[in-house]
Amino acid sequence: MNWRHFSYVLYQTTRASFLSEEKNSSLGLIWHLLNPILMTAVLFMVFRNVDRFSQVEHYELFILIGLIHYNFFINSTTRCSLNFLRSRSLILNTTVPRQLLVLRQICIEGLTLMIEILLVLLLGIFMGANFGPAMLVYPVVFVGILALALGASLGLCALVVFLSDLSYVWSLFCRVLFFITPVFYAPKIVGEGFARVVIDLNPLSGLIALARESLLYGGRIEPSQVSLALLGPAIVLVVGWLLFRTTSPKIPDYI
Amino acid sequence: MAIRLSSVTKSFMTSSRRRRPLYRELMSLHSRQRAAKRNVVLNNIQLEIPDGSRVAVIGRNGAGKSTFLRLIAGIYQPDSGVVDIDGRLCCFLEPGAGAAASLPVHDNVFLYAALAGMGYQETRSSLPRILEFSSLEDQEFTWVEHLSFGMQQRLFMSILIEAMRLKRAEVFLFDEFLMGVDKAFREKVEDALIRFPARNQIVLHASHDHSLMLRTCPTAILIGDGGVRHYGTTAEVLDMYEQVAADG
Repeated sequence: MNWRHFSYVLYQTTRASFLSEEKNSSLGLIWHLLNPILMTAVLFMVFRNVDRFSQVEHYELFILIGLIHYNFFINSTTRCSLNFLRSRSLILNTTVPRQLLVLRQICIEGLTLMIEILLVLLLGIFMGANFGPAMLVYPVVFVGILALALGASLGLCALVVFLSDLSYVWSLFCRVLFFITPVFYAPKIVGEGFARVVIDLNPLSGLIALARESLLYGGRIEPSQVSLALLGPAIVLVVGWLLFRTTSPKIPDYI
Repeated sequence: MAIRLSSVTKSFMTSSRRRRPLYRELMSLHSRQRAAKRNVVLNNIQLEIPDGSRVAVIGRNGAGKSTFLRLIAGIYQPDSGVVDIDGRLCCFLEPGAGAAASLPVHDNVFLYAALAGMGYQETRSSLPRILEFSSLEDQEFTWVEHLSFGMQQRLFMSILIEAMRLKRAEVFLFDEFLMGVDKAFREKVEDALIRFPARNQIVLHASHDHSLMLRTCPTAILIGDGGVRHYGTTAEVLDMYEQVAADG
């Protein structure tokens, strides 16, 4: 399959999955927006009176930006692995490229993230956030988080077929990830030490920090900060791709 | 030579050992079950299928017909040996695999045609022909899940026949694709299978419908006892199959 046709098939399958998901819900796309808004409201109400958090400028938008990026990552990876296992019939009975099944889900989640970002921008205008030229950096963050989710999803799909417990392990990992990702706190409040090292090593941390800087605070962003934020996703993408390529020929035997 | 299988062997782990919880793996670490049991489905297959062939794949349930087609499609990797295919593949061993039942017929034509190798413009110009062939002209905007099983089969098969007519692939692999369709549609497909394949196209079709095989496929392969037992004319292979079935 050449790249042109691959892109067309990806478009058709993404469109079909997106519309099918929409059809099975009364509120459709609104669910994707309600989830982060409700979660932000809860976190904001819980933490707004804590001194360290209340000093954060536009704390509600700060949480919302962290949350939609974190949600994008966990939703993409979890749904990718679930849908991959459900695609048994497609894998066993057609020659559709298997990576397309992963890419399709990432595209759907990517579309949702784009809509959520538009919501953040609208709220930002309403709340008087500092939009500036730094916003131009956001597409880089978007590409970075797509790469991170794609790499993790490829790796997960490559292994979940062989290790039936991996889905449970992954859902536990996602809970832990919520606390080691700066969703409702700024990394600086953690101080130095092991916890800070873990947060700094988490590729989501760099991307969320960059997203906040570009969408919310409009400060100066150094090229080194961008490169560092993209390094983690690049490594995850390469490792995930290699894992998927290695196990892919055996997947039909085990699925 | 469009399809060549050289010394191809395929085995599977017994189903109980494919995927199971980690604690059961640990419990069986020291047990006698530890040694992986493998079931050899096809053993040392040597076969060459020339361009322009329409080949019926015949065999009992569980003989390995679907495994044979999946090996040719590249879905399964052989344990040993080589499968060579000269040309593009169109493989839908389960009609409707990959379709979106909760969307209308119109959307599914574009989706399924894309999976079968057709582009947007091609599909747009083929849409009336596909709907006419499947006799679903007045159902274009009906959700596929609201169609009967037979109507769904007609839709998906019509798209694959159109892909064959447009030469979107050189090798077509089918498995029991005419289940649940009415006599009129069956005759249309039989006619298409005789008329459409070009000289450089190959159609391999696994089925238990012997009269269909006799009418549409001049040659046949008998799969059994872990390999290709015979490759010859369909009448010859069917005779041999009947004999094997009678011997039990």
